[in-house]
Amino acid sequence: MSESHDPFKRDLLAVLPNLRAFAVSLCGNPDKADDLVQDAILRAWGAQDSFKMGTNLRAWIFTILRNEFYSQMRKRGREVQDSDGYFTESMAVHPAQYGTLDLQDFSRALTKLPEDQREALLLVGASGFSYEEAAEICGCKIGTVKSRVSRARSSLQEMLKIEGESDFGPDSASAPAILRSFAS
Amino acid sequence: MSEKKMPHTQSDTRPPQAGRRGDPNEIISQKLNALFSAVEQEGIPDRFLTLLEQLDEAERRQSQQGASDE
Repeated sequence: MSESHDPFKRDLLAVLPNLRAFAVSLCGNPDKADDLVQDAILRAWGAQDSFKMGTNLRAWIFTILRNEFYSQMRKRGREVQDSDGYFTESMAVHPAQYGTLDLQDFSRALTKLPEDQREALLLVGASGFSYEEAAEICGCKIGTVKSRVSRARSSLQEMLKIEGESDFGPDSASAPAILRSFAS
Repeated sequence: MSEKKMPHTQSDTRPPQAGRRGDPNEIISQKLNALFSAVEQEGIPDRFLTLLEQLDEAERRQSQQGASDE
């Protein structure tokens, strides 16, 4: 493939892998995700005259994709969500490539979050957008993004039963007390 | 894009004990990053590369046509 001399196309290509990861995690279904990415590419391409080079192309195309996601969801009248997650399908094909069962559980839990929380968490926690950028992408206030991210984190912790202490045993404050109770 | 490597920049929303080893938020961040890397490592599917080629091609043809019309 020839080196692209078109900066718009070059920048679009650079954003695609992360945009696709966002789409897959947002809709929890790789096929639908790729359709969404394709729609976003077409829309972005058609609207490139309205995009100012030098501004944030990444945030711009993420905005296009998430708006497309919501408008398709509205059109379908909230059809039953595919909550199998990404890894159930892929694992069968590339078991070695995609880490652990652990990640499969995580991917499934993610699809159980309300869309607005999932989207906020993905933008801030995985795509590396600031709260401010995420707020612009989602068309809401910064405080709203923060509370959505925090609610998403709490729900995930609950669903996955993640507890900081459980991984490392009792914390240092309670450990001596436990030891003492054994000694007496 | 580099920000995702620095989850500690979001410390303003974290509970006071955040940041220590085994912090639940840290675990979630790691899983999110693992999930994204797994998809990113697949690279860009051919259908998108082809699509962009076609869009590029169509645009080139159009602008050539526009130039010859003048």
